[in-house]
Amino acid sequence: MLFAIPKPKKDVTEMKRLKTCFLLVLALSLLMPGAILAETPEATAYKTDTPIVIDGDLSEWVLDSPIVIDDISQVIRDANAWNGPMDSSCTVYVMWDEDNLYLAADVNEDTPFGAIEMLPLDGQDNFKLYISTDPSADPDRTEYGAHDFLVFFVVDNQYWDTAFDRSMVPKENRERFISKGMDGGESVLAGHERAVKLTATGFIYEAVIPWVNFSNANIPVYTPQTGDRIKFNFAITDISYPCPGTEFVPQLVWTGGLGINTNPSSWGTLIFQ
Amino acid sequence: MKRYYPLAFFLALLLAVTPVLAAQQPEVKATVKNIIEVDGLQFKDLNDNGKLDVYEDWRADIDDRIADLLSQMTLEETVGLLFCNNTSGQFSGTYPVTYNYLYRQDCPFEPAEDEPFSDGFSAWYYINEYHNRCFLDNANGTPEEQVFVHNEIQKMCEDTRLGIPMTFTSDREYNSWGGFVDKPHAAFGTANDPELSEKLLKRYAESMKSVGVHVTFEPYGNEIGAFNGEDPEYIAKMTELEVATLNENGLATCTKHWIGRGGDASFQNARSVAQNVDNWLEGWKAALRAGTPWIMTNSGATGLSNNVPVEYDKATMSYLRDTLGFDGIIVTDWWALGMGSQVQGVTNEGVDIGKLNGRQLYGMMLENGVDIFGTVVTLRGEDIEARIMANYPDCIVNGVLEGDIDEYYVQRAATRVLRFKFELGLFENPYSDADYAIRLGANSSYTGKPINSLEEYTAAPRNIKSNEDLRAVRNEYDVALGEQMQASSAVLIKNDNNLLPLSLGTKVYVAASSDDLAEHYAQYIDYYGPIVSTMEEADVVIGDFTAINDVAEMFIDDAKDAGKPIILTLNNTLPTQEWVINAVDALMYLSFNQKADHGSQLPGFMTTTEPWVYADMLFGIREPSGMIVKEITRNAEMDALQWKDLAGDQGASTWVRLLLQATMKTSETHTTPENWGDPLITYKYGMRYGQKGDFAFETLVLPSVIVEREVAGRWGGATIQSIAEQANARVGEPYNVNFLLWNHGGSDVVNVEAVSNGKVIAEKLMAVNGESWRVVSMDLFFDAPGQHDVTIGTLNATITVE
Repeated sequence: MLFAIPKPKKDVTEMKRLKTCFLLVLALSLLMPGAILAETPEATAYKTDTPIVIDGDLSEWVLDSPIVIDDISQVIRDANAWNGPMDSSCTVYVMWDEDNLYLAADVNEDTPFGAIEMLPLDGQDNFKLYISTDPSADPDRTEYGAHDFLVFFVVDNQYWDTAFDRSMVPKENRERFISKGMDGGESVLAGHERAVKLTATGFIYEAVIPWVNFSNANIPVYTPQTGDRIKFNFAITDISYPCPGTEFVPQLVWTGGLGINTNPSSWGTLIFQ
Repeated sequence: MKRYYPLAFFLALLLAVTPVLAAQQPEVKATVKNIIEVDGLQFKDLNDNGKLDVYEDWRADIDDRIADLLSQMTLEETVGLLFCNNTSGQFSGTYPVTYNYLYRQDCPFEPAEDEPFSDGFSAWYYINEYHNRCFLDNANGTPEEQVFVHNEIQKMCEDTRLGIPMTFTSDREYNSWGGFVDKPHAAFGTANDPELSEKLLKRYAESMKSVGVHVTFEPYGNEIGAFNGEDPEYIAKMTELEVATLNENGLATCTKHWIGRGGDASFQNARSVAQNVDNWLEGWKAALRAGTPWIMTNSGATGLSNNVPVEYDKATMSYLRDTLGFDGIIVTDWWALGMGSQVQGVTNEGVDIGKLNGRQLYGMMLENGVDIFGTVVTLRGEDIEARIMANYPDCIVNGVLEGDIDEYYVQRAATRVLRFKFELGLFENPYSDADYAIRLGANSSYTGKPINSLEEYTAAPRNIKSNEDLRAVRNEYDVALGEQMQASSAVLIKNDNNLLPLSLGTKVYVAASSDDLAEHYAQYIDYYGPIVSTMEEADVVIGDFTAINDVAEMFIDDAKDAGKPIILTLNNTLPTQEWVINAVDALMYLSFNQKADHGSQLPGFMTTTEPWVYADMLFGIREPSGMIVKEITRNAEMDALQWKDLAGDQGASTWVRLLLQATMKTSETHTTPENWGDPLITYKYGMRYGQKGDFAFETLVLPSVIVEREVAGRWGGATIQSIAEQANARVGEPYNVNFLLWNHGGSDVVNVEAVSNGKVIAEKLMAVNGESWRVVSMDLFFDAPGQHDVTIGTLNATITVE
């Protein structure tokens, strides 16, 4: 069904106008540092009393706190190659229980599943989950702590690689939890399940990630409590043409800029309820 | 007159024999159309008219065959020749193939649940709807699977009105075991072993031909900074070898990407103030000398004029067609209309290509000499903005019909395309023999059989799941050559105290970027030395990493804490950090990676150095013997200053850089010395087991100051003379010293230390090729005034610090 629908024809003039506005706003923002330090967004993760069935069907999800990633102001890389929300965008939902984090994404994508092994993980179709497992950590911290994690989910209809990138965590904060799976071809999340269902404009992604994955001998397993607030962010990457020569691979993020890869202060906040 | 008799006799003989030679029957194979007999010879009745047409007559001159065929083609059919799609419009192909992928006629269709994403186009659709006769096939499969798919597509082509055969191209250079193994690009340059390279390339060509692939979109090592490094002489040598060997053995090369994507900088970004275009073109000229029949453009990047993408730049295209005289096929890369948005720029003639419509863009490219437009998918209509990376043949058809495009250029391009097919004999027999492909690519134990139907294809067992499985079925000779290449392309960077090779029985702890990989290594290392589970138990610890990141850093820290000798192998990542080289006892760079180029590698296969070869190298059964082909910078700032169109100038001063420039300009092969700059590791560097450096320090030069001294004259009186004297240093300020570091032994690294009063005040890692030298420039820093005795190697100086 995805393929029978004509590709949405973009309004080039409109896109150019939006991009110009975006650049203008960006320039003004740089002139006014206060604007960048504006409050970061919040979203709610709802607790589920029964484990969610991972089948690509979101009927059992609470969907009233969406994390929407669909605006040109959220494009943090190769904005010139992003052709609007139907090119690549998503709405993300988060739920939880004592053992698991649940993630769902309703994705608009005109060229889904663009993974190619020759490219680095960050150059393939992917989701990037930025998450802290320490509610007590300073929300304004400017470098990664032991409990701050970046997880890659490669979005390919065959392999679904996952990886942890901890290269940005200062050595003294790593607690021997180091990067895993960054060469691709691995699934590094124990107990992780995911399901995908194609839609008319993209696909629904649903996954479960046990909290134990964010721990090791030095970092205890996080068990969320209602009312916990943790730093959180989410990114979607879209390669429209999965070839080694591809120059532009747009990336959109819930909040913040490229600095989110080294500085958690500009992540949003997830509230457990 | 008498003296002309022998010549007359020879001419008479030649005339008598020529018809016999010309009438030598080629193999004619038809699966759909009839074979007709004329004069006792066989021909294919491709247009099914029961007569022998000129284009069907393999005895006829190729120009006449082309003209006859073009005269029978509709404009749509002719334009169809000018596009090359990925097979069935799928970037990675589908494996295993399906009915939809090959035969489906009601396109676009809705793919089945288990089919990877596509636009819902089939091979049949492109052949019949768009008259395409060029597919880019980066598909996976065993030799017999590939033969089946290619033959089925050729059958569909034969079944069309004029029976024009398909040209199969591939981004992969060795794809007869598609998705299992491909050419290890970087290894060829690093190995610096033309004999081994030639053997492998010959096998690649024969294998590709056997499965029905006609063109590889390779090589691209001719570009400065790519797989063959940056020395134009070496690039030219390796490029010429590759192009010649592939073509001589039946696989046409498409050298790419004109005028240069480059290894680390495209042509547009590489050009220094010196504008070393000639230097850049050495590799291209080598490819042309070797007879490359196809060339691919570097879409999206500028060329000589540096204002519009190459296909739209008359100067760049004319240089190729007219100055260099290339008359083969020029195919664009897969985004000639733009990527993300339409191409931009203003040509030398003042044309703003960002404002052109599809007809004008295609017309300009055709006029500039392009023959084929590459793309994943082809679409109807002329609205190129609808999907900028698709192709739109209607633009050309309508452009010709309405006078916007000169048909001459369409015919010229189609003529080149058809000439290639005729010269290859595809009109007579485009089919491949699965038995032969299996015999060539597999060993005698392989159980794969020729496939005759989609049902047989679907039912065929697919039980090659690991490197070991693959090794067991591939041709032994190919396996042996590949394994030799794995060792030949490994570069030994450091080997303190001859730590490598290890002695049998050495207790080894091994770590790697992934646990699976470490286990795989351990399985084979264990043949030679026991694997232990902790560093403390080990005689030596070995780490293999794909990046110097937090994982490698923790490994090195742990090994140092354990006090064990460290062997580090950097897998497809260069040793770029001085601290890493200093921290380990032995260091090897593994450049080998046979991952399938473009499309998808089949899961479960390790594509880098295989664990049994890895173990063999560690224990000296095989020896790493590669070299660094591109000097390695000391830091990003140094690299940013390097001229990407000049070799050997990492870290060089402007003065030295200009000396290198002049040397390159006056060298026939455009080469330069590798030891004049100040890189971390020099071009051609590579150690051997058992060899070590024999370093000698010489000619310490300290900073000077000019002072004026009154000197007594010979005949009395005094004159004032300017005299150079040793300068004093100042506390906390750099005091730059220079000296020669000779290496009378084999290639090796040495950490040069400047010691003052028992304290190291400066150090610098130097890699020096065997029987060579380098100039060492070091900044010394003093933290107290007074007289300081400084020792650097065997050099000594007393320096006054103020």
